[in-house]
Amino acid sequence: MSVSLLDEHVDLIVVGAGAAGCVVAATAAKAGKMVTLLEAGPPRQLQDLTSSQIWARRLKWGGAPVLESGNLPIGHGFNSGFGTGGSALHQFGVWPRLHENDFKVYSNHARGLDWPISYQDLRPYYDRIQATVGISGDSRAEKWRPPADDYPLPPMPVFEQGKTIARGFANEGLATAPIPVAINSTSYNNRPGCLFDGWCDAGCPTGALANPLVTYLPVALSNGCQLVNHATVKRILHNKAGDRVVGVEYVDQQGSVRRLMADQVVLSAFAVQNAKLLLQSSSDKHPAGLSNHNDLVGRYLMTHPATSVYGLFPNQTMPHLGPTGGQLICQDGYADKAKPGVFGSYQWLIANALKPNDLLGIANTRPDIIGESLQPFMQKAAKHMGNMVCIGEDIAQAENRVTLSSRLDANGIPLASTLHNIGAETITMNENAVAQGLRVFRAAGAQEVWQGARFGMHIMGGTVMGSDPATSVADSYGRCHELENLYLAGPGLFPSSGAVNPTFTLQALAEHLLG
Amino acid sequence: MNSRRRFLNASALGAATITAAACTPSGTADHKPSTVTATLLLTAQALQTLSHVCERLVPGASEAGVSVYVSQQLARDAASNLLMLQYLGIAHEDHVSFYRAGLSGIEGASQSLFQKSCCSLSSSETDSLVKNLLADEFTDWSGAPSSFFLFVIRADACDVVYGTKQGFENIGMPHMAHIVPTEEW
Ligand SMILES: Cc1cc2nc3c(=O)[nH]c(=O)nc-3n(C[C@H](O)[C@H](O)[C@H](O)COP(=O)(O)OP(=O)(O)OC[C@H]3O[C@@H](n4cnc5c(N)ncnc54)[C@H](O)[C@@H]3O)c2cc1C
Ligand code: SF4
Repeated sequence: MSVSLLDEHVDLIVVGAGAAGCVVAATAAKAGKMVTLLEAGPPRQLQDLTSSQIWARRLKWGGAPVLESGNLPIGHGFNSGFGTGGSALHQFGVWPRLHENDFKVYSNHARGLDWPISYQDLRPYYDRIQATVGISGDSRAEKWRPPADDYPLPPMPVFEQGKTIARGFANEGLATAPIPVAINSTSYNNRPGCLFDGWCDAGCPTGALANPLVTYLPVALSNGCQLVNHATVKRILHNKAGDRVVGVEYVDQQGSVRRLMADQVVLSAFAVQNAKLLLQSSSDKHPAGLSNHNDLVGRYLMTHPATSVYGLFPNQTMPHLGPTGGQLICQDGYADKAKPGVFGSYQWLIANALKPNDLLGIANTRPDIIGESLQPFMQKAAKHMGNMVCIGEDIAQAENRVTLSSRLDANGIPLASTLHNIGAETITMNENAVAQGLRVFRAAGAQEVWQGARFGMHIMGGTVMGSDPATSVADSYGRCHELENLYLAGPGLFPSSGAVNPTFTLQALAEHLLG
Repeated sequence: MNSRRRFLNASALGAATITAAACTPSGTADHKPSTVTATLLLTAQALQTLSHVCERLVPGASEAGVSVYVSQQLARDAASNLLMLQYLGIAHEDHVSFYRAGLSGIEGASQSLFQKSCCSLSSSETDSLVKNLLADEFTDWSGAPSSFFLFVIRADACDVVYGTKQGFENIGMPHMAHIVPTEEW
C-alpha cells in the first residue's frame, strides 16, 4: 500500500455521497464553501439503472463485509447501498414524516431515548425539503399526519391491487390514504412523472423518483463541489489537543492512502459506517475511538422490524403496476405506542409493485412451492397477488451496537460487527400487526393468505444525538460533543426509530444541521 | 443460450476456465469488459449437482443456465457480484465456500440415502432428497442448514428462470423495462 500525503486543503469534507451527504454538500457548496465529497463506491449514472432485479444488486453495499448477529439482524447487505447516491439511489421513495410522539419516547414511556429537538423544530426543514424534492400525497386523507404544509404534488393513482386491499382495511374499520412518496405523480421541477412500472428497486432512471442523482447532487456539483469516487475514508485526523478534526485519510482505487485536510468534516457514510469510522479513528486523545469517552459510539443501533403479508385474490390485481414502495398507507393506531405487554407504533405500506424474482419477489414469498407446482403458482400470482408490509418501531437499547471485529479487511482495517436484538414487547407488536394484516386480507376477499419472515428494514442509530454528552454522541445539529468541527449526518443520529421510513427525516435533519 | 450450453458441456469435462469478458455487459460504469480470466471455482460435479437439484426445485433452471450463472457470479468481486446471497448475511469472501459446502453436502446426503450420486437420482429420488434437506432432517450435514442452502439455490434458479424479460413473459407479467439490460446477468 503506497501512501500519498499531499495535504490538499478544502473548507469541508463530506464522507459518503448518499441521501444525507448530497444534501450537506449541495447546501454548503451553494453557500460558497469549497466542498469535497468522498465516496467509497463507484460513480453511478441514471443510465446504469437497468430494469432488472438481478442487476439491481450491484447497487448494494460492496465495501468490507459487515458481520451481523442477534435475533433481528440489521440486514446490512440488503439495506445499504454503495456508490454515488448511496442506498438512496434505489430507495423506494416512501417518505412519511415522524410523528410528534416519536420525539419523546423516553419521557412518555420510559423506554429508549428522547430526541433533543421536537417535531416542531424539524417541521420547517421537512417543509423545505418537500418543496424542493416534490412529494406526492393527499394530506387530508392522511388523518394521522402531523401539522405540515400540503404536498406539492397530487397523490399517485391507486391500481387494482391497492383498491382490492383497501376494501379489506375498510371492512376492518381501518383507514387508508394514498402513500406519500418522493416520486412525481406528474412532472415537477423539470423531472418527469412516474410511469408506474414498479422498477424503483432497480433504481429509477427517469428521474421521477427523488434519488440524489436528480435532486441534491447536481446542485452540489454545479456549485463547484468535487466528487471523488472509490475513496474509502479509513481515518479521521485531529489536532494535537484532540478537540478539532483537521482532515481525513482515505484509500483510493489503486489502494494508495491519501490525505485531505479541511476546516470541517461531515460523516454521512450511513449508520454502521459512521460509527465504524469513529471507532477506527482511535488515537492517544481518543483511545476508544473519536468522541467515544462515554462508550456511546456504536450503541443504540436500530432497525424497523418488518413483515410482509401476501394473498391471492379472485379478481385480477395487476401487481406489477405502481411504485415498489406501495400505493396506500395506513397509520391507524400509530399514536398508541404502549399497551400492556406490547410496545411500538407501526404502519402498513400497501400494494407494493411486485416482480417475479429477488428477495421481495413473488417466487421467494413461497419457498415451499417447488417443482411442477411453481409455474402455475407464478402465473396465477402474476395476475392475482396482493401484498403489503408492516413496519414497526424499534426501541433504542444500548446493548444493540456496532463494534470493531478482530477480523480485518484487505486494507488491514477491522470489520464492523453488529448486534441487534428485539425484546418481547416489540415482538408482540410485530405479531399483532401481522395478525391484523392477515385479517385485512381475508376481509378483502383473499382466497389464500400467507406471511413472510420478520426482517430488519432500514438502519438507524449508532451515533445518536442528544443534549447530554453523557448519553449521546452528537448535539442536536449533529456536531460531535467531543470535536467541535466534526459533524454527523444520516439516520445514525436518530435517538428513536419511529415506525416510518427514515430518508425524509434524515434529509430534514441534514438541512437542520446547516441551519 | 448456446454459449451457455457450450460452457456447461465444457465444464462437465473437468476443471475449466471462463472468460469474465464473455459474460459482463458493456457500457456500465462498474462493469467494463474485462479480459481477466476467472478460475472456475466449483468442480464439474458440484455444478452438475447444482443444476440437477435446481431443475427439481424450479423447472427450467438447468436450461436457463443456473450453474453458469452461479459460477460466473462467484468469480466476480464483492462490488459486482449479483448473487442474492449477498443479502443474506454471508460475507462475499465466504460465498465460494458456502456453495462448495452446500453442494458437497447434497452429494453426501445422496450417497448416504441412495448410495448413488445426486445427478443419477431419478425424479422421485431427487424429490425425496430435496424434501429431506428442506426439512433439515439429514443429520450428517455441516455448515449453514440444508433448508437455507436450498432456499438460496432456489432463489438463484428463480433469478435465471423468472428474472429475465422472457421469464416475465412466461408467467404473463408485462416487463415494462425502462432500460433493458444488455445482458440478462
Ligand atoms: C432497497 C431500499 C429501499 C429503500 N426505500 C426507502 C424508502 O422507501 N423510504 C425511505 O425513507 N428510505 C428507504 N431506504 C433507506 C434509505 O435509502 C437510507 O435510509 C438512506 O439512504 C440513508 O442515507 P445515508 O446518507 O445515511 O446513507 P446512504 O444513502 O447509504 O449513503 C452513504 C454513502 O456513504 C458511502 N460510504 C460508506 N462508507 C464510506 C467510507 N468509509 N468512505 C467513503 N464513503 C463511504 C457509501 O458507499 C454510500 O454511498 C431504502 C433503502 C434501500 C436499500
Ligand atoms: S415506477 Fe415510477 S418511480 Fe418507480 S422506476 Fe418506474 S418511473 Fe421510476
